Amino acid sequence: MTKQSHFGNKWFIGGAFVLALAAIFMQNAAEATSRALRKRSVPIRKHLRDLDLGALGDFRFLEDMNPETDLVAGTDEFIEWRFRPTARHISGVETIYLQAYYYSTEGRPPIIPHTPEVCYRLLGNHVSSIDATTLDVKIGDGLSVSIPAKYLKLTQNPMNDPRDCCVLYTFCVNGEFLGDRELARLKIAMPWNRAVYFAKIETVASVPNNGDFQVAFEAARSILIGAIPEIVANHLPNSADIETAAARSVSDTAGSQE
Amino acid sequence: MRGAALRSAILIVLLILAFREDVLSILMVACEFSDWSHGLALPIVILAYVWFRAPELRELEMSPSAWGLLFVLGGLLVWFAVMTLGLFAYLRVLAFWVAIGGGVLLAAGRGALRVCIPLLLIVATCLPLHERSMDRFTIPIQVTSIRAAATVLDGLIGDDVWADGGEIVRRTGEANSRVGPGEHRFGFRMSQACALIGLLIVFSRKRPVWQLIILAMAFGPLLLGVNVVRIMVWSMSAWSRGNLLVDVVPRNLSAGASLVIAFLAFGIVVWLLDKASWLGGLFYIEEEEADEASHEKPPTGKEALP
Repeated sequence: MTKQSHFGNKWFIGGAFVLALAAIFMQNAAEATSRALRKRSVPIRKHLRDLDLGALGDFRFLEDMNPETDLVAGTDEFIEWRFRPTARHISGVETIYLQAYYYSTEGRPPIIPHTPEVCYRLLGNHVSSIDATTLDVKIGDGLSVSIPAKYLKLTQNPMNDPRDCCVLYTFCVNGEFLGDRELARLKIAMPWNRAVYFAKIETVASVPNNGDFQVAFEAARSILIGAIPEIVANHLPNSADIETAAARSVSDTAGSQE
Repeated sequence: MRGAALRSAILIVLLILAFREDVLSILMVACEFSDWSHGLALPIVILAYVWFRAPELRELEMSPSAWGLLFVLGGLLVWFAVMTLGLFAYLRVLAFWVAIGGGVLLAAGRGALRVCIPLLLIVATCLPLHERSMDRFTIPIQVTSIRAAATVLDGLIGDDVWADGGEIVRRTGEANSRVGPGEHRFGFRMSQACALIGLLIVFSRKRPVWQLIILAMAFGPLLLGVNVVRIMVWSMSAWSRGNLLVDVVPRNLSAGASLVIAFLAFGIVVWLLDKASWLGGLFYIEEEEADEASHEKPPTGKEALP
C-alpha cells in the first residue's frame, strides 16, 4: 500500500515539475520559435485585375462586381467578375462568376478567411452536397496536370427566387494546388515554407431551380480550366520568386540580428 | 481525500501559470462577449459540482495516475506546436483542456476522472473556439433553429412568416417586417451557457445508465428546442417594439429567457426520469433474463468435473 502511494506521488511530482517548467519557459520558448519561423511575403507577379479574358474561352465578360480596390476578404489583390457562357453545351447557365484572391503576409502565416461551404450557408443558402473533384488543366509546356478541387451543390435564395448553383474552388499554396482548406492551412504553416503565398480560385455557376446541375458543373469546370493556366503562368509567383523572397528575407533578418 | 485536495490545488495553480495566456484570453472573452460570460461563473459551478458529488468522491481511493503525466505532456506539446506554427488556434484551448484532464489524473487518479468527466464537459462549454471550424458546427444549428422558429411562428400568428438567410420575415400588409437573429453568431447565442446548465442539472448526482442513455439522446434536441424558443422570443419582442432588424432589447431579453427555459426544460426532463423509474426496467429485462439463463444453464463437461 505504501509502495503504491509512493509510486503515485512520483507521477504527481513529475507532472508538477513539468508544469512548473512550462510555466517558466514555455511561453518565451514558443514566442522565440515563432519569431524564428515567421513567414516572408511573396509579391504577386502581375495583378489579377490584368487577367487576360481571352484565355477563359467561351465566356463573355459582363461586369466587374467589385471594381474598387479596397480590401475584400482580407486582401486588395482579387477579382470578382461576372460572365455569361457563349458555348452551346453550357448555354443553360444563366450567369457565372469567377473569383480569385491572392494572399501573402509578413510574419504570421496568411489566414484563409472563408470557404463557400461556411459562408454560403451563413447567407441562408441550402447546401445539398459537397464533393471533391479534379480539374485537368494544361500548365507550362502543354503538360496536363490533374488538380484537386471541391464543389458544392446549393440552392440560393431557397424561399425567394430560388436558383441551383455549382460552386467550384481550389487553393494554390506556393504553386501546389489543394482542394481542401485544412490541407492548405497545413501547407501554409509548415516551418520549411519560409516564404509563402496562397490563392483561392473560385467560380459560381447558376441554373434555374431544379435545372440541370451537370450543366452548371461543366460551365464551372470549363471557366476554371481556362483561368487556372493563365493565372499560374502569368500572375502567381513561381518557385524562383518564392526562393528569392525566402532568401532575401533571411539575409535581411541575419543583417538585423548582427 | 485531503491529500488529493492538496495535490489538486497545487496543479490548478501550476496549470493556470503554464497556460496563463489562454486563461487570460478566456477571461477577457468572457468579460467582453455575453455568449461566453458564463465562464465567469465557472469557479462556482465547479464548487457546486464537487459539493453535489462529494459523497461519491469521498468513497474513492485517490492515488495519482501515470496517465496524467502523458495527458499533461500531450497538452503542452500541442499548445507549443500551435503557438509556433500559428495553426489551428482553437487547438490551443483544447490542449489546455486535455492538460486539465491530465491534472485530474495526476491529482486523484482514474476513479476521480470518471466522476469528473461531466465537469470537464462543463469546462469545455466555457472555452471560446473562435474559428471557422467552429462555424462548421454552429451554422447548421443556426440555420435549423431559424427555419424552425419561422415555421412555428408562421403557424402561431396570423401573418405569413418565413426564414430568409439569418433573418425572419413577417408579411404585415404590403410591408415586410424583418428581424435578424442570425447576425454574427447570434443564431447560436447562449447555447453553450444552456449546455452548461443542462450538464450541471443532469450530472448533479450519479444516475443509472438507462437515464444517461435517454439524457444523451435528448440533450441535443433539448438544446435545439431552447434555441428555437429563444429565437421566437426574439422575433416576437422585436415585432412588438416596431420594425427593427437589429435591436439590443429583444436580443438580450431572449438570451435571458433562454437560460430560464433551459433550466426548466432540463429540470423537468430529469424530474420526469426520476419519477419514471419503471422505464429502467425496460433496459434491464434482457440483462436479467440473460442472468437467469446463465444460472439455469447445465454445467459443461469440464465444470461438472469434481
